[in-house]
Amino acid sequence: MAVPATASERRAVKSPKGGLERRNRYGILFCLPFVLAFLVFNIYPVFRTFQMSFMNYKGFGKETFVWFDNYVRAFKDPLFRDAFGNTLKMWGVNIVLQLGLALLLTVIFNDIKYRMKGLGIFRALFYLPNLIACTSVAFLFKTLLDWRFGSINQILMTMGVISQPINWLTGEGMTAQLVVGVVGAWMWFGNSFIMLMAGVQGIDKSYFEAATIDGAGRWQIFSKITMPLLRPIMLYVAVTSLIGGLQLFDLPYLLSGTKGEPGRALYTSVFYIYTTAFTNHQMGYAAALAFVLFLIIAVFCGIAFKLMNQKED
Amino acid sequence: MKKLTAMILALLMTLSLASCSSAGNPGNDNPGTPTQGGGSQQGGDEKQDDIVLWTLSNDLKQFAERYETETGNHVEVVVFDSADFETKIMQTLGAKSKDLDVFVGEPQMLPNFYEAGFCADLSALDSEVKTRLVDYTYEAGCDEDGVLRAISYQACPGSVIYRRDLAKEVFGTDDPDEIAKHFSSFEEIEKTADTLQAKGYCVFGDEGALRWFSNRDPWVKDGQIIINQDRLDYMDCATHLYQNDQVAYALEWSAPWYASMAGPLPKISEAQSGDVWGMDKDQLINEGAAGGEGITQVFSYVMPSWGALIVRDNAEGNKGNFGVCSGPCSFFGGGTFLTVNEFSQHKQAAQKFIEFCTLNDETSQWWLEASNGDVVNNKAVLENNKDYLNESFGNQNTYAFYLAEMEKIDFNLTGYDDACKDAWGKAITAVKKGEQTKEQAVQEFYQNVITQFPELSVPADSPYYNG
Amino acid sequence: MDAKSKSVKALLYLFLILLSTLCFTPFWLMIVNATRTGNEIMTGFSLLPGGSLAENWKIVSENLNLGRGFLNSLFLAVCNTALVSYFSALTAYGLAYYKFKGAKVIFTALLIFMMVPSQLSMLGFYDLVNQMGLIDTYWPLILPSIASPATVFFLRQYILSVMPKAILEAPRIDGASEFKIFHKIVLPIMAPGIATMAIGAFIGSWNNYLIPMLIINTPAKRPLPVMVAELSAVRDITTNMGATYLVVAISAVPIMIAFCFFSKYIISGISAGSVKE
Repeated sequence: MAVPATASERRAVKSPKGGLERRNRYGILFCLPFVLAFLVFNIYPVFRTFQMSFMNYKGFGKETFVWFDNYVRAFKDPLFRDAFGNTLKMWGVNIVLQLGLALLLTVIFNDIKYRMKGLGIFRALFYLPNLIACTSVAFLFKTLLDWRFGSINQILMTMGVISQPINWLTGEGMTAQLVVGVVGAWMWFGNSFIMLMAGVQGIDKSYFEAATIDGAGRWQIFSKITMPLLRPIMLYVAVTSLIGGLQLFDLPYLLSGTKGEPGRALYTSVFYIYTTAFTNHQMGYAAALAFVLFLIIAVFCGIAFKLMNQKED
Repeated sequence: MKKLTAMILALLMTLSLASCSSAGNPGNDNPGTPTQGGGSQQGGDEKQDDIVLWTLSNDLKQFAERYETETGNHVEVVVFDSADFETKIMQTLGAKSKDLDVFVGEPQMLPNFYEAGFCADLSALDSEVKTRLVDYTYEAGCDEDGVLRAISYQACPGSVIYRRDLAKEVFGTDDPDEIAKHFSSFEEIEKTADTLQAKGYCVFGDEGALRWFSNRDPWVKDGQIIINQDRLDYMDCATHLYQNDQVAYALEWSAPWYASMAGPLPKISEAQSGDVWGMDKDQLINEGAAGGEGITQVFSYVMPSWGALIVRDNAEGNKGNFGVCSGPCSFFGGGTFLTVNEFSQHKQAAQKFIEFCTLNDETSQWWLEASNGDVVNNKAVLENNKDYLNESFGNQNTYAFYLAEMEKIDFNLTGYDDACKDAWGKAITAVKKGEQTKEQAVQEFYQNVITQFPELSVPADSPYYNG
Repeated sequence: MDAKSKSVKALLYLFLILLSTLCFTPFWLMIVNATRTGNEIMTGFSLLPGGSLAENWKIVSENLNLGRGFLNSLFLAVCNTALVSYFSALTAYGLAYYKFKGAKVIFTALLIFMMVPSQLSMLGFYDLVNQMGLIDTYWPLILPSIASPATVFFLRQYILSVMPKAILEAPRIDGASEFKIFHKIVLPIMAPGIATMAIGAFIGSWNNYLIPMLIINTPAKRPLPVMVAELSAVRDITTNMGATYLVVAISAVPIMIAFCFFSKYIISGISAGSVKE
């Protein structure tokens, strides 16, 4: 995987040799606590899961070694395939809305001409949905979206937007998936917004001023200055939401009342893994599924990195 | 790089050493060794007979208090959320923890606990339990080899809870035995629904009520998935009720469901638009009392014994206006079983406490009264209360009814039940909404279950099965 | 500003206010529900507070040692936030501004481990904690914070985009030690980024339920979310729903305070972040 190198890094290599070598030892020292904790708390558990994926293991009792049986089964599992498809659909809706909204807000708040006020208070309000535990969010939305008693249908019908109540969560699978995507975006756009703002705040304001004086339009400033300078942070936001999105679990799990309904539309990959491990008690198989999912995520991330880096060169 | 590699290697070695030494611990561990780490055991003045109990409801706190006043032994009750309780037990006892002495399980969790070797042998109490407690609770307490490992203090037999006033009006009688005839099979239920519909009533709040009757046969037997005529009848019946608009669309635990127990309510079908949306329970009751177009009443509910208490507590003006009778088959739902932790260091004391909760007639009688309606599984105590006239249920002898019902329960739980019921429920939804034909839905059911459990098979003569 | 710009600006504000309302409503509903009975919550929905606050509070105070849970949660959250912030910044700086063999390996490894579905490594994690003899202690809830791959990744990206290498040259010539440079110069520059991640760390720790639920056995050591779950474990959920919301609402207060604290820090961090040479 290519690591984005910056100009400063490249410069560093050319610095006088002796001082550099000695100093660079500090790099190792600075990373040491992380590396130790990482090995113990991240690598070991995953290694254990990896081991489990070759076993026939219920999560209790005996473990029997079954070679690649679990992986063979995983690649043939139609339910897992469907679940992954569902995940992509929900994540797709989610990411477009979430990043789109966050970017839009970033642009609004950085507009030189309008100089919007109240960033602090708005940012706090947008971040509110992140503060509440997912369980409460899901419970509230289930109540609000109930097709007979939910306030959302009530409001829409009073306003005359719809004439028939919409069955948000218990009707069509597509509708329910859309709802999950939108609720997810609602939950997380504030977080993305904060990330992007933190990135923009790092950009020297004089760039914008100079560009404005030079008569650059709003779109030019956005595409020529803001976006390129935001790239490292954008990469972070994109990659983490990709990873998070493909691991989508809590929200559909809770919104569907732990059953994945309507039909199996709200089953996501991790939801299916979770059910396999803890309801069906097939820990070994669940571990194999988790690794397959991990491989898929890795491929997706690899593509994301390639795309982001290409633009840089 | 060399340094880093060396460091990682050193670390890995330390790690593996650490894991070796701790893995070696259980081997040379003699009974007298104090628990490692000193964890949660509190202090030195701990008495030999004090125990720790892990449970998922507050009920056992009352038992523990009573036990302490009678014996002087303290039971520390730790309550966990039921959603994650099984996982918590699996992890904790998978690590052979000695931090707890007694823990509880619900019937569907027990087989896994037995298989994992978490539950101590209670066969010393076997004959007592077998003779004095209700049979299905004894069976649920035994592992595959018939060794007793868990004992319950309660029973949760199911029943049809019906409205006596409506029964008199429609069927001319409110006698439980007579009404039971109208619920004796899925076909009878369809007929009953038709009759009630003609009078403007709904047989159930929601056709999901039928699911309780789906366990007449086990879901899996000898590695084969059981779909028989009975299950297809269940599917047909649910479809019949839904498609003919014979339920009130009052889903369990929703506002109209609670409201329906108190009296008439507006029927809120998918086809109907209008002003009843967003009403809470009280508004629905008021709307129902006003009468007129689209007002209906729910005739019955299907619930285990604890569900009858919910109906009782929400009946308001209808209190005393309900009766209980049997349905197409007897069933049970839930129930708390007590078991001794295999790794406990206070097994004797733990067993004594379980004995106190389950096999002590006085405790059972006390709980019967203290719990305000919970059904115990102690047969002698139920016999003693046989003549008790339950005001909340039209002066019916409810304990006599439940005792008879419990004797008929066939305990046939398997580890596949949750997954099968879930998949079958989805098949029924698809059929009743017209999304799939019966054939497609049943085939998809087979496919789903087999994908999740490749070790299972479908008997060749199963309906709608084509290889 | 011309009339058109003014109306555009007004529209933008309207949009922001609408969006804020959407974000605030559920929070408000949570507070409202804390003042209603379980039955009311189960059977309907209201925008106006009910009259059962005292009743709910009674259920809470009778069943839970809220103060204890509060302290436990606070202790965990503060430790986690401090560790995540400090060690992630240290690692990110080490990875971004020093050339040493293995840096790429570490960076790649942390990227890879961000992709591992967390639900499943939980099992191996319990195994490990058990082997270390740390079940029912706070160590396994705190120590893993030292290694937070996503935060390191973010801060590395952040520092690369805001801090030119040249900044380090002057103090080095002055003979400042590398640690001193990190503490005195790098840390303040990274502050906005750190604050941003710290909020997440604090909230994550404060709302964390699954791992503490599995690791902690002694009731007195439970953090708030695990305590709340105990409340909902009592069979008749309808009598406890309001009380549960009350605890959730109360437990959101420290998060609000933490958020205000950190968000102030972000704002004041603007000037520190935009280093001019």
